[in-house]
Amino acid sequence: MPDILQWGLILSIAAPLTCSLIIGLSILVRREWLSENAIYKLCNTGLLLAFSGSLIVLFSHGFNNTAIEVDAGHWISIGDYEIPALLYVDSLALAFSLLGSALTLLVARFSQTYLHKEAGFARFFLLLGVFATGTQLIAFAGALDLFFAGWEAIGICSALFIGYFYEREEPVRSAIRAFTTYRICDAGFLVAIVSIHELLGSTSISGLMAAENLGGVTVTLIAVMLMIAAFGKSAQLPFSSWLPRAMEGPTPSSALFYGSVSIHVGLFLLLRISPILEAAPVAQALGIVVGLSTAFYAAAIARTHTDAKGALAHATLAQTGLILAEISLGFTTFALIHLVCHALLRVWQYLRAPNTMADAHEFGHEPHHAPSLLAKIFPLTSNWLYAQALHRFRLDDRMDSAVAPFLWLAESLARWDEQLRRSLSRRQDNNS
Amino acid sequence: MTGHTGFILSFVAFAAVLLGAPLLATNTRERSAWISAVCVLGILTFALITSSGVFAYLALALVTAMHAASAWHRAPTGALYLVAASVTLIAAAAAIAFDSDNLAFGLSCVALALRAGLAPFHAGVAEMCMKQRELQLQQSSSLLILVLAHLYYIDHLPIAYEMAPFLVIWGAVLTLLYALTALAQRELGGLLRSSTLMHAGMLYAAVGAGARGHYGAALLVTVTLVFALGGLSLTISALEARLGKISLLGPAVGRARAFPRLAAAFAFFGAAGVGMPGTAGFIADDVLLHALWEESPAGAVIIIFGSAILAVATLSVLAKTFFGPALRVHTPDLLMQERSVVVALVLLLLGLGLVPQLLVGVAELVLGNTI
Repeated sequence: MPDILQWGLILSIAAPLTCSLIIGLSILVRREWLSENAIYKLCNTGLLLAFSGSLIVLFSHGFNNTAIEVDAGHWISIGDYEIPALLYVDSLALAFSLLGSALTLLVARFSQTYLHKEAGFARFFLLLGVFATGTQLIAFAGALDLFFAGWEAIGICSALFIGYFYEREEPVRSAIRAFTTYRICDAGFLVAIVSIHELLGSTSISGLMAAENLGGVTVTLIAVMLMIAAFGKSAQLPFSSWLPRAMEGPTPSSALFYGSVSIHVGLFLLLRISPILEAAPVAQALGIVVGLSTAFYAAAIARTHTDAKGALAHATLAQTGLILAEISLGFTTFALIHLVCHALLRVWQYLRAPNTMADAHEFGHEPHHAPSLLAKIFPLTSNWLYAQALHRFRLDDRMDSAVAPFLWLAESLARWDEQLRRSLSRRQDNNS
Repeated sequence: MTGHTGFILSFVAFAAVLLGAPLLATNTRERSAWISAVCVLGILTFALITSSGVFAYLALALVTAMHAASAWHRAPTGALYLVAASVTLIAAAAAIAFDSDNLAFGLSCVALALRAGLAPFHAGVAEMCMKQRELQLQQSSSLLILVLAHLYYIDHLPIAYEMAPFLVIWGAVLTLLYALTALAQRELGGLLRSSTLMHAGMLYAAVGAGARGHYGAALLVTVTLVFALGGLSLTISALEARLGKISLLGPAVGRARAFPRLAAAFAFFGAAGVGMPGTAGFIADDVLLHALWEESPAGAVIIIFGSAILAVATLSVLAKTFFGPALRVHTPDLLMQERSVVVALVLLLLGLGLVPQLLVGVAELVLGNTI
C-alpha cells in the first residue's frame, strides 16, 4: 500500500496524463467533439491534482535537505538490464515540480479565455496534460531513463505547440526546426544514458556520485554528451536559432515553454547531473564559454528587436546563458534560485506581451535614445555589432549550411535506392 | 514452441489483430478474405504451439506462400520475394531436420531479410508498402511469428552467437541509410516504405543482439515495429482512399482541418515508430540500445542517429501532408470501423509502452529456457 508521499508522486505524474488520454481517446472514439468546457474541466482536474500531488510530496517530505528514493519496482526488466521505476525527492525536485505544476495550472486558466473558440482548443489542452506529466516526470525522475521519457514528451509537445497555427507556413517550418534541433541533441543524451548504464551499472540519480571514479576522458565525454542535450533544449549556442522562431506558437504556450519551464529543463538536467559535471572540468569550461557566449549573443540581439515576443525570447536566452555559466562554475543553489525567479518573471512578461500596445498607451512609452557606452568608446565596433545583431549573427544561415550536405546525401541515397530496387524488381516500372 | 500458455495466446492475439485490422478497417465483406485470414491464423497458431522447429518453419513457409498468392496480381515483385522467402523457409526446415546448424542459420536469416525488407532483399516489401498495404500489414503477422521462431530455434546456435556483431552492424548501417532516404521522399507512401526498410535494419540488429541473450529486446522491437508501422499503413491507406496519391512535392496542404482524426492517428503512429515516451516504441528503442551497446557501441550510436533522423522525416511529412492552408473537402474523416481499429492499435502500443513487463517478462522466461 503506497504511503502518503507515494500517493503524492503518483498524483503529480499520472493525473495529467490520464486526463490527456481521456481527451485523446474520446476525440478518436466519439462522433462529436467534446465541448470546450468539458475539455478544460478535464485538463484542469488533472493539473490541479498534479499540483496537489506536488504539495503533498512537499509536506510529507518536509522542508529538509535529505533526499528520498521511492522504488516502485521496475518499468521493465530484461536479463541484467532494467529501467527502474525509481523516483527521487529532494529540494531540487520539489522546487522544479512546484514551479512546473503551478505555472502550468495558471497558464491553463489563462488559456481557457485566450483560446476560446480557437480551432485547436482540444489539441492545446491535450498537449498541456502531456507536458505537465513530462515536467513532473523530469522533476521526480530517480533514473536517467525516466528523466529522458519526460524530456522527450516535453520536446514533442514543444514542437506541436510551435506549429499550433498549422495553416500558416512559418509556424510549421519553425516547429520542424525546433524538433530537428531537439532530436539531434537528444542523441547525445541517449548515448550518455546507455554509456552511464554500462559503466556505472545503473542510471539512478543517486548512483551518479560514482562518476568521479570513472576515468577523466570517459567522464568528460559523458558530461559533454549531456551538455549537448541541454544546449539543444535550452537553446544555447550554436542551437539558439529555434527559440525566437518558437514565438510563432500561441502566447500561453510561449509563456510556459520558452519563458518558464521548458527552456529551463536543460539547465535542470545539468543541476541533476552536477556530480558528473564536477568530475569533468573540461565540460565545465565548455559550459562557461557557451553560457557566456549565448548571453552576449542574445543580449546584443534583444537590443535590436522591434517586436515584443522576439525581444523577450532573446532576453530569456541571455538569462539562461548566465544560469548555464553559474551551474558550470559550481554555484548550483544560486543557479536554482536564479532559474525559479527568472521563470516566474518571464511567464508574467510573456502573458502580458499581447497587451504591450495597450500598456504603452496606458502607462506611456519613452524610446531610449541615449548612446551606449560601447558606442561612445568604440563607435565602429558598436555599429558592426548592431548590424550583426540585426541579422542575428547569421546563425540560421550557418546552421542551414551545416545541414545541407546531409540533405544532399539523403537525396542521393534515395535515388540510388530507387535504382537498386528497380534492378531487383520483376518489372521495370514497379517502384517509381 | 511449447511453453507458457499466456505467451502463446498473446502472440495469437497479436497475429489476429494484424490479420483482422485491414479487413475491419476497409469493412471487407468478402468471405474468402476472412476465411483466408482465419486459415493463416490457424497455421500460425500451429507454428506457435508445435515443439518441432521443422514443423514451425514449414508452417511459416505455407503462410508465406499464401501471402504470395494474394500479392500476385497487384504486387508481382512482392509476390516473387514472398515465394523466395517461402522456399528459403522450407530449406531452413530441412536444414533444421538434418541438424545443419550453419545452413539453418543462414537460410533463416535470408528468410527474415526477405520478409522484413532488409536491403538488398527489400524490393518485395518496398513494392508492397506502395501497392498492397493491406497484405503488407497482414504479412507482418507471420513476420512476428517468424522472428519468434528464429529466436527460439536458431538464435541459440553457436553460429548465431558468432555472427551477432555482423548482424548488428549490418542492421545499424541500413537503419541509418533508410532513415536518411526518408528525408527525400516525394510521396506519402514513400515515408511508409523508408520507415519499413529502416525498421527492418533495427529488427535485424535486434535479432543479432537476441543471439547474445537479448530476446526480450528483439521481441519488443518486432512487436512495436509491426503495430506502429501497421497503424501508419492504415492511416496512409485511409487518406489515399479519400484523396488519391499524396505528393510531398509542392506546397503543404492543410488536410488536418478536414481530417483531424486521421492527422492525430498519423502523428501518433509516426511518433510511436520513432520512440515516443508512453508508447511501446520508447521502451523498445531504449532496451534495444542497451542490448546493442553490449555487442557494438558503434552500432548503438548509428541507430540512435537513424532514429533521430526518421523522427525529423516523419514530422516533416506530417507537416507537408496535414499542415498548411486549409483544404475544403466533403470526404469524411475516419469512419467508425476505421476508428475502432486505430483505437485498438493505439491501446496496444500504449499498453505495451506503459506495462511492457507483461510481454517481455514471459518472453525472457520462455525463450531463455531454450538454452
